[in-house]
Amino acid sequence: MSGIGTRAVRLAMGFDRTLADRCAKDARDACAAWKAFWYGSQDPMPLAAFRLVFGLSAFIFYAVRMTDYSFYFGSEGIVPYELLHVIVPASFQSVVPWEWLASDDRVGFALHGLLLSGLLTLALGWTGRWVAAFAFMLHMVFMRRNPLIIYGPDMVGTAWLLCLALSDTRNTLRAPLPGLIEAKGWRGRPPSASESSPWNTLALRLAQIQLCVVYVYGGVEKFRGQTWWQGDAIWNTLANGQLVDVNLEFIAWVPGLVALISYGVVYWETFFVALVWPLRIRPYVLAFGVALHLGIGLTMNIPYFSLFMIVSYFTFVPAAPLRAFLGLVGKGGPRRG
Amino acid sequence: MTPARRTLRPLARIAVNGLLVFHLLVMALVPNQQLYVPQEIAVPMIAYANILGMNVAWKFFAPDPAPPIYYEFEVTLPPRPGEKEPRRERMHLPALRNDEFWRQNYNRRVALKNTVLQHPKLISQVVVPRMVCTRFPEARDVAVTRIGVRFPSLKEIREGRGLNDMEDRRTYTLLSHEVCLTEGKP
Repeated sequence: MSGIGTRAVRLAMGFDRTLADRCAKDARDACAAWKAFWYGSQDPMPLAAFRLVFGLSAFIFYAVRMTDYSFYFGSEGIVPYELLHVIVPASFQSVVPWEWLASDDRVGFALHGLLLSGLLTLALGWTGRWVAAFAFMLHMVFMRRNPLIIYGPDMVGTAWLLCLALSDTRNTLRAPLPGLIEAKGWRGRPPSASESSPWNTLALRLAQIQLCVVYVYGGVEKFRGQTWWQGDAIWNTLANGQLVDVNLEFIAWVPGLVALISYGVVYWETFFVALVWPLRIRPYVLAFGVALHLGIGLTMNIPYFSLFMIVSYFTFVPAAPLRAFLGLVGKGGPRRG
Repeated sequence: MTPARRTLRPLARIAVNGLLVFHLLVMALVPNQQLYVPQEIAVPMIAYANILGMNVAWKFFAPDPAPPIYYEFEVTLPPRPGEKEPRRERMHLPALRNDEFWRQNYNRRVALKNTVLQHPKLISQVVVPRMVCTRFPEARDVAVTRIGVRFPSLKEIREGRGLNDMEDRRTYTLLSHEVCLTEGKP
C-alpha cells in the first residue's frame, strides 16, 4: 500500500511540477507578448503618416470652426461662460476645469489660434510630443467651453490627439523648415533614438485599439436598432434632407442593395476588431472601410469625420508599402529589424 | 543603422503598464453607459474619462439613424408704425436649408439641435435667449414648435412619391411659449 501511495504522491508532484512549469512558461510568454505588442520595435512611418494627414485635416477643420468663434465660444455667443455651469450637468463636468482658460473672449481666441499653430507644426513634423500634448489640452479647453456643438469629428479627433500626445515622430515625414539652408525636405533628417521609442509603439497600439472600440460599439449599437435589422437604415440616412443635399431616389429601385449595404455596415463594424488583425485580409477590410467612409463623407456632408476615420487606418498599414509609396525605401527613417 | 531604443526602468514600466490597463478598461467600458459598475470603480473611471474626453458612446447613426427634426421659433414683434397687427417672424434650428458658407457650421447647428432634443431645458436656457431674442430684440413672444419630417419609404418612392415633396410630411408639435425678458437679453 505504502509503495502505491508513494508512487501516487510522486506522480502527483510530477504532474504539479509539469503544470506549474507550463503555467510559468505561459505567463512568461504572455508577458513577452504583451511587451512586444505595446512596446516592441516599430517603424515610425505609419504613425508619422497618421500624424501628418490627421494634423493637417484637424488644422483645416478647426480653422473653419474659428470662422464662427464668437457664436460658439464668445461672451455674446450661444453659451456665455457664466451660463456653462448652469446648463452642463455636474456628472459631465471634468475635475480639471479646462474651459476656464477660454472664459475671456480675447484669451480664448488667442488660444484657439495657438491650437491651430500646434496642429500645423505637429503635422509638419516641426514639433513633437510636448506640443501634441499642449494641442490636446487646448482642444479639451474648447470641447469643454461649449459641449453643445460637439459632433463626430471632435470626438474622434480627441482620441487621435491623445495618441499623438504620447508619440514623437518628428523626424519622419518632416516638412522642410522655411529658411533652412540644409533642409533635406521630405526625406527627413537622420533618425534619432526617439523615433523607435516604446512610446511611439504605445501610441500606435492605442490608436489601433481605440479604432476597434469605436467600430465595435458602433456595430453593436446598430444591431439594437430596428431599421438596421430591417435593412433599410441606409435609406433612412440617405433620405434625410438635413444631412444629404443630393437626391438619391434611384437607390429605392434597388432595395436589395440598400439592405446589403445596411447589413454590410453593421457586420463589418461589429467584426472589424477580429478581421483587421490578420495581415492576409487586412487590405480588404481597410479598403471596405475607406469606401464606406468616402461614401458617407461625400453624400452626408461630413467629410472631416470620414477623413479622421480613414487617416487612422495608417496605423494598420505596414511601413514597407508606405515607404514604397513615398519613395523613401532605404533613404529615411529606421527600418524594422 | 537602427538607432538604440530607449527602454523604461522597471518601476516606470510597472506604472506605465498599470495605467495602460486602467486606460484600456476606461476605453472599453465607459462607452457602455448602461453597464452596471460598482460606484467605487465607476467614479475614478468616469473622472478619468471626463478629463481626457473619453466619455463618448460611439453611437454614430445608432441604434437607428435619427429622423430629420427642426425647431421652429415663431416670434411675435410689435407692429410697425402705422400698422395695427403685430408682426410675425420665423427662424429655425437648424435652418431648413444649409445657409452657412462652411458646411461644418451648419453641422454644428445640427449637433446643437441634437443636444437640445436630449435636454429640452436648453430651449429656454440657451436657444431662445441666446439665439432668438438676440436676433429679434423686440420680440414679445416666442412660440416654440418641433417639426418632424417623415420621408417616404422605399416602397412609396417606387409608387411615385417624390423625396423632396416634404410639405405634407411635416408634423408640427407646439412645445412652449417663451418670452424675451428684456430687449435682446435673457
